[in-house]
Amino acid sequence: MNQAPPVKRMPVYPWLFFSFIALLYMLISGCSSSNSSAPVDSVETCYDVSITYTGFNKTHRLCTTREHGGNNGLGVYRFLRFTLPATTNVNIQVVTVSGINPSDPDLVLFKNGLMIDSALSQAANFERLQLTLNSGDYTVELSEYRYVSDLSKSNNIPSAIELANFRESNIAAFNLPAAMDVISSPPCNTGNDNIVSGVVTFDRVLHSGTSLDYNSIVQLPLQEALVTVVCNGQEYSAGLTDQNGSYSLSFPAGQDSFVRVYAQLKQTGTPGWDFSVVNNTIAGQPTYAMQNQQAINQFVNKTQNLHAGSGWTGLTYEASQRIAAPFAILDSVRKAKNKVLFESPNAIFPQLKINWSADNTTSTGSISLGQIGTSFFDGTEIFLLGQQDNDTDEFDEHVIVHEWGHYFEANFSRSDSVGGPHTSGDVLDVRVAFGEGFGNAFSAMVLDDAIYIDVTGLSQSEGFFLDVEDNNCMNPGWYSECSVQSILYDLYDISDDGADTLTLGFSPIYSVLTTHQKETPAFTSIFSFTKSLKTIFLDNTIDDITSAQGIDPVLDIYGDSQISNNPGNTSKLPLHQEY
Amino acid sequence: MGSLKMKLQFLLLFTISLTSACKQDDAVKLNEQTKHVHKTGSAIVGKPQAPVNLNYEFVNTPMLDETLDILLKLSVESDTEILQANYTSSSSLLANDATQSQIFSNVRKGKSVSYTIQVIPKQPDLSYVNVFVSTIVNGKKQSRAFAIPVSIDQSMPSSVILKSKPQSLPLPEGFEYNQQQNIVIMPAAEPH
Repeated sequence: MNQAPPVKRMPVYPWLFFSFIALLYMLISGCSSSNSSAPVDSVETCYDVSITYTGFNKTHRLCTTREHGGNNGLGVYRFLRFTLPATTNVNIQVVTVSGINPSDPDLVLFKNGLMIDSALSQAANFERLQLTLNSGDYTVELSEYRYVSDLSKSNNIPSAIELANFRESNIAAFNLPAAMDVISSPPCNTGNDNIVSGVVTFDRVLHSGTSLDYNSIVQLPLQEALVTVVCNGQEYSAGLTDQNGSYSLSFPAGQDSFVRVYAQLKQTGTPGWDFSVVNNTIAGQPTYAMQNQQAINQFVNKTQNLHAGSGWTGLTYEASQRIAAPFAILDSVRKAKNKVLFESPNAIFPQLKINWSADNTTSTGSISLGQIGTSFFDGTEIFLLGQQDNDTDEFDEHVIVHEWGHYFEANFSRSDSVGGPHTSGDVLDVRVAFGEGFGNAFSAMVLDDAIYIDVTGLSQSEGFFLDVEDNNCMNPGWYSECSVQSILYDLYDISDDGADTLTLGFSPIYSVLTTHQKETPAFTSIFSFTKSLKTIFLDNTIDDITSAQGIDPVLDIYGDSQISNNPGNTSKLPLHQEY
Repeated sequence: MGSLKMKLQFLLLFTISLTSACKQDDAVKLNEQTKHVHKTGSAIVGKPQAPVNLNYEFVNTPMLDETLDILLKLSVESDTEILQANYTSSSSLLANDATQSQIFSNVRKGKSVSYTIQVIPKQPDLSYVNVFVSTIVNGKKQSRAFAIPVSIDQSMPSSVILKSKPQSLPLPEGFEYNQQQNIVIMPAAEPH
């Protein structure tokens, strides 16, 4: 009987070994595919972009790059434009032909700066937009999402999600059931009024270099602020401080009253405004106010001065005495508001909250905890830093007015900026360069001070500064915020320097920003601004100023006349590819 | 031999768990990749900064009264001869480094330099390490501040707190929050 040969069992170890190798491979390949969505080197990614409609079919090759770093560097976004003669069905299609693979191209369609539609799928190497459009000029933004999502720079600007959470929580704060029924106090008696009057002042700590100089604290009048007399917890009378900080209000004799000053500029009607400094670390974003401590109840007129001190003790800020900050911020906002009001005496300013807290720090995370990352404007509100020994901005007037300048752009002009981190030497997306350069220049115009200072550090003793008047920009050009601020300020200021022989003041700049720039079919840039300015002021010396920043003479709103200034290893011109 | 078998089985399990972890990571990344489209005037626009960047990571988990190593990675946006980093921490974070300062020379754009700082959390509350990074731009010193949050309580990420209920930080002594009128009332000085 033949005995069947014993089946030779394969040892378990090789199986385990092969399984281990296979799984290790899966692990590496799986993770490397996820790594492929991590920041990518400066490889150029090119696409064939086709626009098709009845009787029209054109394809151009456009390339994106992140060679200039960050998610808002020049070349991350590319632009194309087309004009439709009549209402028609349009197909816009992008196919990746080289570069990162898989790529994730996106398309966004605009008309006069308004987004019409977008195609943002995660389809590999392909995107398409199909829709019916009316006649007119259209611009399309092409981007590579892998570059847009790259955060290689320290982007300490909160995400839209963090801001949405913050808004949601503050709306919820208003909807909370009351802990107890609030019984309204009876109003105070009228008919036996006296007058309380006085002066409202605040401390402003001045700069010395890039530091705050606590030996140079000046007391300034708080102008145009809302003042009320409060009796039994209710407003009894109200008014505004004048240019000397003076106020005069009635109070009921013999009843306890207090004078309350709000960190708020408010005027209803035309012109009208409502700017308030609020605390983002308290649910509901309450407005800051200060009031006297000893009740007023005399039967004679009363003088009651109020002062907001800095709270500086010589070594640190005493938290319970740090009162000046919201009022110093308000004062800077007042200056910016009046700059615009001078140009447009009937202006109606949309309501604006300026969020400040002594807990606002350069960490990002929870805005309710003060983790705002940096001072910024989010399209609706301004947020300002305030944590001592980190970064405080309440006395950095240029920072405040810079952010208010973004509010101005959003409400009186137009900005197509995609935002993001930025600094003077950056080679930026053209829209970001204009918006940030404008913010810097605007702060210098409002304050009539070309030196932009932003203090940071232990005891507020370090900092960042830029000279808006300085024409020697690192990487000058149409993609440089430094060049934009230099051009705008040279157009504005009275001192001639370099190629600057012009003194236009703010009026023409305001005029262009609130008309042509607001309605331009191109993306907002130094080109749309300069071309419009040249249309109004037929002055060739404008070209002298822009040429000094390496910009070819501006002949159109799209930047088509740019030939020589094309930075980096990849072509970014034409800026708007015409179809 | 049995020992080898056990080792290989352990490796297999270890690899499977790693693979699983990798997939979880991918899922998180996919969620994070939710695309946002900017519209006119809706971008978040911040102030200009000094051209320096800081990334950090905790080498170990923050624990009360135990040394926490924080790895700092600094980079610049243009070549610089001198890059200096200083750090300070609040009293609830004891700095474990006498100099609290580091200087790097000839730092090239795109290259990061790194060093590790040590702090000892003395309280469970949220505290910050403030790092100030300075560089020279056109012959002038430019600084930027970074804040690194350190919290012992890892179980409640701030975003979760935010979504569940509105929260408020405590006000300084002498400040009063009037919820009905939604104002913070501060004590004014009353000069004559």
